[in-house]
Amino acid sequence: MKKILISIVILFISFNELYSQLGFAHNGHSLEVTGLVTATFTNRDKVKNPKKYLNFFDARNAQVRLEYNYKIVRCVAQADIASLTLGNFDPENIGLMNLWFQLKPVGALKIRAGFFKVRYSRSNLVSEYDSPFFNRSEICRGQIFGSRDFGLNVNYAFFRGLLNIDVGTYTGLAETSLKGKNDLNNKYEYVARVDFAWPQKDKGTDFDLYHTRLPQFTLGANVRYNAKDATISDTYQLLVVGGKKILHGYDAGFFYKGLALTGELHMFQVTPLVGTRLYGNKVNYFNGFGYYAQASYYLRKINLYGAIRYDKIDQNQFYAGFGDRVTAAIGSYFLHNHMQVKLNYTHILNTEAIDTYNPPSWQNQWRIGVYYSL
Amino acid sequence: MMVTLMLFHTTSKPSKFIKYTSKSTIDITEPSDICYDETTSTFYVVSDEGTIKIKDRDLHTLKTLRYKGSDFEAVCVVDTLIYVSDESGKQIIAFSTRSNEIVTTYDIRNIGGLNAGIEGLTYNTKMNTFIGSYEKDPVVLIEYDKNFHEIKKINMKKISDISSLTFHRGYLYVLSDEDASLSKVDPTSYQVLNTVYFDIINPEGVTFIGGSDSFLVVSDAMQKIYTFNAVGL
Repeated sequence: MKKILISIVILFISFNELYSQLGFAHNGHSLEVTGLVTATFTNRDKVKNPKKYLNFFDARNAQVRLEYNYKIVRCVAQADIASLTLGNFDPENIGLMNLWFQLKPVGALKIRAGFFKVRYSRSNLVSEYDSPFFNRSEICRGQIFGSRDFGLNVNYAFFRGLLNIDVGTYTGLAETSLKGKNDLNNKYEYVARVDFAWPQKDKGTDFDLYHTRLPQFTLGANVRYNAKDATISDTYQLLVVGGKKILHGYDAGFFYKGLALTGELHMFQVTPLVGTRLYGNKVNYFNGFGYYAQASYYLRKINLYGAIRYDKIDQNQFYAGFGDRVTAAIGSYFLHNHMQVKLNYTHILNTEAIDTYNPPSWQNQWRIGVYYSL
Repeated sequence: MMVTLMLFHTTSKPSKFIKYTSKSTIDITEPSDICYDETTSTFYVVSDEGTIKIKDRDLHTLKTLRYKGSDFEAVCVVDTLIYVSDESGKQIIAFSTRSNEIVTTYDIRNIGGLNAGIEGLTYNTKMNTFIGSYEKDPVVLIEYDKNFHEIKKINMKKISDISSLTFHRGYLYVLSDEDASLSKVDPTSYQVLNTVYFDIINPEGVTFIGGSDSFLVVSDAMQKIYTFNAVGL
């Protein structure tokens, strides 16, 4: 058995070109098939509740992505089979990831429609494979604002793509829009984003893999607004609220010779239709915010990276929902960057349970994972 | 029959850093390669958006070809034909330098995604063979005959990536985007003979200007052309 396994590994490494992505082209039509598989192991310590001691294996990704291009048309369908089979609605690990088409009718104008990542927050737009961390910061991981949604987005890139303006409208129901229904008032969410990079286009990663030779800066600002008629639960879930919700966020990045510094700040205000959560307060709204700051360094000669992130969230100035944590990461790429091994350690510094029946279950978490990009 | 060579290159001269002597903005979005046609004293510039522009020696645009491809990544001129690599289209398209119309196309079958096609292309005038390259993962040179039948592949392990190729005075020159370097390579043994480095963002195309020692480098992200003297190469 051992010999068979060694043989498979040697075969795999020797002929890894066979395992790379596939592209087919004919008469201007092209189709590309790519994928990503990830397996992780997580170990968490217990805090108070012995039943919450957790360590588990996870088939995190089994993604297949199809991309079709013909002249001004681009279509993408992407699904994570692992999450599809589990009916997973975790915004960071969802079954259907992309299902959209895009037209580029003139110049740098792009019109996209379908189910895709909402153009809000730089972190949201960086793929897991291009980040040293398994999870985004608490503010950006899809619990406060939607990561993906059904909608329409118009993008225009100015000055060699250095300046991008996006405006879009979405259902406002985030990943639950996959169920195919809008809320009772049938209103939409409106999102706008402006980002600027200098001196070249933002590569959209949390690394500086290519050791940028001149200092690279990125700046972004975005806003989103919706007014839904969804029922707010006791454990106030903020992703889709009954009432008005406005968010605005700002991001910045600096990349130079292997060093990558990125950070974001998001602030939001919710005016709920049902004011039970605000009983006894003089205002009919509550505010929240969250931010993160992270640094990574990539040692190109040995394909090794290290990173650290601090992130903080306060979901409501009146009630519980405060937390901050620090996450450290180390990892490496192999096989012409097709394989990545990543280790994350997260330590929760402070946390408040929103629901008193479900106190925080862990304080320290180790996670190791192996990615293979097909 | 395909032959794969695994070479462990050595640099015979110390590498050095050089500065460009001039730069200019180019009127083509995402330029990806450039080549010089000695017969007509013109440059051909191709772009990621599938366009080809013909420019005079002062880089003024003379003509934009009507044909629009999907993702042009490499260009070279041999006799009266302009050979262009459409990377995502997985084709080499040959245009006439006279009529600027398509003469023929060659399908390039390779395993890999749509951005894993021919990234660099030049012609070895000594051996009468084309030399193509894959950008990275892995970094590979491919020798082709005149009908783009593969002769052999060479893994270039000491170069991070290949963004462009050009042939000048009997030597192959390899441009690297990630290293921002130009390497002089023996076209028979494929040993790297010398390398120069420069501070340019996203160098994607390179060509020498006729019989001179000057070479031009095209930056995709900056949409600029930089002129260098090949001192030290």
